[in-house]
Amino acid sequence: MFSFTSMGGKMERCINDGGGPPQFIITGQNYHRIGSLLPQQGHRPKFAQLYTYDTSNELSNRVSNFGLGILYL
Amino acid sequence: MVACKSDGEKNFDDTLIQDLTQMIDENNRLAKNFRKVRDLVEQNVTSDFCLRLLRNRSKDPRMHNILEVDEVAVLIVGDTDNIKYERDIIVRKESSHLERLHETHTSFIPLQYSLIFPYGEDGFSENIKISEKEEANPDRTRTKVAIREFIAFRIQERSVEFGNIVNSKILFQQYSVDTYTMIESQRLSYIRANQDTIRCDILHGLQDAVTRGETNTSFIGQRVILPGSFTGGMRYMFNNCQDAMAVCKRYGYPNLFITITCNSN
Repeated sequence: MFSFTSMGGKMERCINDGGGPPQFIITGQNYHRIGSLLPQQGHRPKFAQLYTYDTSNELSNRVSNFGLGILYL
Repeated sequence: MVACKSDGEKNFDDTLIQDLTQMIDENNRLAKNFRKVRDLVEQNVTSDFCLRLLRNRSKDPRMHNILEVDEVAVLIVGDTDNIKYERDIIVRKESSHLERLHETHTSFIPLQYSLIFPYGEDGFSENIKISEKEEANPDRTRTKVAIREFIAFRIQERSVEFGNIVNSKILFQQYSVDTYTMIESQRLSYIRANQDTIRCDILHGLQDAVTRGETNTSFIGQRVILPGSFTGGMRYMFNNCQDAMAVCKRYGYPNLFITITCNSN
């Protein structure tokens, strides 16, 4: 929610079904990418853009973005 | 926040998010730079601008330990087309594509894990020297700290730190996986850059034997050879398989295959 970059990589989501301790599994290539300082026309702010764009609604922007990142267990 | 339910419930404590945002604003030097951009946007500046995330700083970060905002990133206003950025990352005002960060970029880790590194502490840098004691060792050829050593060093619990990394629960899992992929991709890019030294090896003949009978697709493009020292690579697996065969030949086939895992608690 507070990160500036987007983490790429295919994440195994079905493994955390409540049985056993949580696991974090990714496959394929992993990378971090950063977008532009301002979102494109008609797009909602993401990642680093949350710090720069539409900051009067920052809280709701942050909450609505949660789950876009890979940290969603 | 991490303890969010897996069925997609979004029950957040708004005040917590506000507090965390405020904390990051006040302390994180990367965030401060992005906030500068916000100020610029609010002033309705029409000219182009970009943010340059610096890779290497001129000063030794340990000697000059006071965290300077200007040392991690520079905001450039005006003509941004002709900037030579070498190995720094340029974040443009508006662009449709995402810029990829190299894993050896100093801000690679703090940009992703702003909660683990609330001050925007430096991640790995290529120019960290090994200790003098180690340097005196004649067997030692490498004089810089490797990325794996740095990450292992960072995870340690120590009395001068709260231990954000190990206390971050599920995020620690993500952090561990992520940093391992950092190590691996750094190894891969090293191998890619040093193909000449690797090809000199006797491995070249082995490669021919291993890949004989492959389909034509592998001949398209430049072939990058992974040496046997790369964990998980084809040669590594092949070598280990051969070793296992040799062990079986010498001592006979195993009757039991036992795997032991241990819980330190």
